[in-house]
Amino acid sequence: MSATYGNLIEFINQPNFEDNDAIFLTGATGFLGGHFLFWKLQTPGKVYVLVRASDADNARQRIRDNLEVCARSYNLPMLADSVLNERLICVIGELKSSKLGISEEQIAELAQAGIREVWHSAASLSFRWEDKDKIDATNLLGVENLLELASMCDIPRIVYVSTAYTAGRKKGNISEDYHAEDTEFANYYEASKCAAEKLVANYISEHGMKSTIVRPSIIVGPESTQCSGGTRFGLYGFCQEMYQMRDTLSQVKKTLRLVGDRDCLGNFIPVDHVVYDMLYLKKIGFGDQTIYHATNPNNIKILDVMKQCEKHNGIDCIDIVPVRDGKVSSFENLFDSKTKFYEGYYGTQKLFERSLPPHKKISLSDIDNYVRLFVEELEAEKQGTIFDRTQVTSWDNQNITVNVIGDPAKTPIVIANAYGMPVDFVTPLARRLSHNHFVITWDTRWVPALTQAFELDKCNSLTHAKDLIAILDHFDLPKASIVGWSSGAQVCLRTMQEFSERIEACVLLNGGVSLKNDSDIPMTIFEENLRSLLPKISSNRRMAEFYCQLIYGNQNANESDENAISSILTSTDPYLLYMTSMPFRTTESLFRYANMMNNLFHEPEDAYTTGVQTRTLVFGCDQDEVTHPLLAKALKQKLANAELVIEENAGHFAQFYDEKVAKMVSDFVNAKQHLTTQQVEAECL
Amino acid sequence: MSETLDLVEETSFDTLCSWLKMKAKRDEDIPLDLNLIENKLVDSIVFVEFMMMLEELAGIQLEVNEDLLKKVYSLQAIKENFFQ
Repeated sequence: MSATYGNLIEFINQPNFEDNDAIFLTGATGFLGGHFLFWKLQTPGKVYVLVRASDADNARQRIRDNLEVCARSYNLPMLADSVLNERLICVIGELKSSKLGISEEQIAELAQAGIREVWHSAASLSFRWEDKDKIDATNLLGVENLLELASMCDIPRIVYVSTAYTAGRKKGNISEDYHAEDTEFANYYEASKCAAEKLVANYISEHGMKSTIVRPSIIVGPESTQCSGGTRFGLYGFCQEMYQMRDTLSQVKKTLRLVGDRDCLGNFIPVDHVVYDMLYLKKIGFGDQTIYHATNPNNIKILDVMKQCEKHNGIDCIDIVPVRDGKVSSFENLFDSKTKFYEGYYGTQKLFERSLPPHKKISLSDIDNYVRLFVEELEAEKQGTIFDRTQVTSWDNQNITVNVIGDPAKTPIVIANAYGMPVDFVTPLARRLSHNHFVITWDTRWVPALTQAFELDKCNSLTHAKDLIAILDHFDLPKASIVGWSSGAQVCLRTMQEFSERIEACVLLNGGVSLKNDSDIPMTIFEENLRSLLPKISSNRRMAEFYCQLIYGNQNANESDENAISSILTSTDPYLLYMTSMPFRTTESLFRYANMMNNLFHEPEDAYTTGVQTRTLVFGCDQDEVTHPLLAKALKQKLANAELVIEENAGHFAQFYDEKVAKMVSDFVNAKQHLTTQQVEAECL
Repeated sequence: MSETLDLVEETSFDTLCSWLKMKAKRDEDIPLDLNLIENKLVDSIVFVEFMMMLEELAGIQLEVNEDLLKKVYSLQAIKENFFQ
């Protein structure tokens, strides 16, 4: 054991490993797997890394990109090329394929490499019970495939990275043992990880192998810098949901109740501490037990952590209650739907036993700093570290606010956001695309900003299409590829019809357009209600005022009225609240939005698809609550040169949540044979 | 004259009931005393549209004040407050 348990700099400078050592690692493009690789590569021995990629260069680049993120998170330099060349070997394959999709020749090579352990860190982080099949494919079938490969290559040990929350709803002391068969779980992610632990146990006992299971608790960024280190999971996922909803949550006068235990304790461990535990286990030959908790000696009250998240997000409305008396408000439903994964953290009281030496304690003030820095990180992304904001004079001398990110020398992509929606909704997509593209997006005129006078006679898709062209002119771009999300798809179609020579390729993401001559296309309830209400509001500004007074203007309502209003909100679809929270906030923005959408509803029957020859990818989601997936199929049929991708288990905000959508867009724009997002799925711990 | 007026108002009220039945996707008539809000027949979007229909059919202009929700919480309340 080193002088200071947990000091990785000391550890890598000690002669802990040998040059002839080799390991096989999965999940190296993910958070924990990436950090583990970053430190392991600084010790002797080779690391064979399973990576999903189109070719060897792509594989190495993906790993390099993630290692650079890891290095930055410690304020350390990137690993030298000589180290990577000597120690890193990329193996292209994927967990869900038999034998990981690795060729017989490569398997023979692995069998001769003297690999001592498989370290399995990759996992699907999906958690919904309805996504069981998808999760199983990675978290169970993937484990089986990996075990089979390990057995074929005579690799004697598997180190399985699990989670401390395989304990599910179990209360009290959680021992470093397998959990009982009748364990109840807060979500299917926990269930699948628990099942995988047993799968590993059964397999190794049948095949004469050895196993070690590492169960980290809630992993946060490096201890030394207390930045996020690149993850949006765990504490960060919860805090980010709160950040994204804070404008909506700030409207809530009533307490937002989460069901759980107010006294519940959370266990937070810096990622470098988990990496240390993992390397330490290897150094000591994995000790005499199978399961180890990678946890911190200190536990922190989850409610206190939530209050810090609230404090740094400028809100104060959340409480944890054992049971919700009375009606569940729509905001509670909305928050539940966004944060369901985290219920395991505050649902039951858990104290994790730990046999490894103790790390330095993480205190509430440490977590406060982690949260503060993370919210600053999110704020910086929003304020311009992510986008450079500029004003572009458009075709009619109106100023348009334009946001750009990425290297102007790279292939340009212009994102047409949904009408009236804040740039936040396309920020994650823009950020992901910016690695390979110069990305431009803009605030639609009139809404969300209300600074320009509203011009009803210009309120149509051509105005926005001309704005898009004016933006291309501003940046001296003769041509660009365009991406339209939701109603932004109509802007893309109009642009392709009117200015085809300026558009290279187009991707329509969950397009909300009006193909009125096709009566077979069903409407979602959301769309049905908007199409019924917005035309009425568009013709009568008083109705916009009426709506806003009713929903948000109840500042002086008495308790019974407040309950009644709360009841109205209770019955509102949470997704609708999320989608409409910005343009529905004031009378003026609602009136403008209603007119923009009303005119969208009255676009020509073909929604400007006729005659469009531009190469187009139409993307729809089978769980889209806003635009029906059959609309995507109909759009594909209307377009002369289009491809269709329907994503399973994804909704209207897939482009926001799912990083694989960006890869799909980038591949299509670059005219590569694109993969469906399921094919490129590589969610990793 | 009075009978004619009643007939007109009854028809308007029926129109409102039919509209709500259609919006709520119900096969059977909505009981007059059913609390529309508590029973989730309307969400915030449909509720506003419902009020618009009420204004149009009853020929009135509603104001959002502390009395509004009491006047519109059920079809019976609507009938008593706006169609008599």
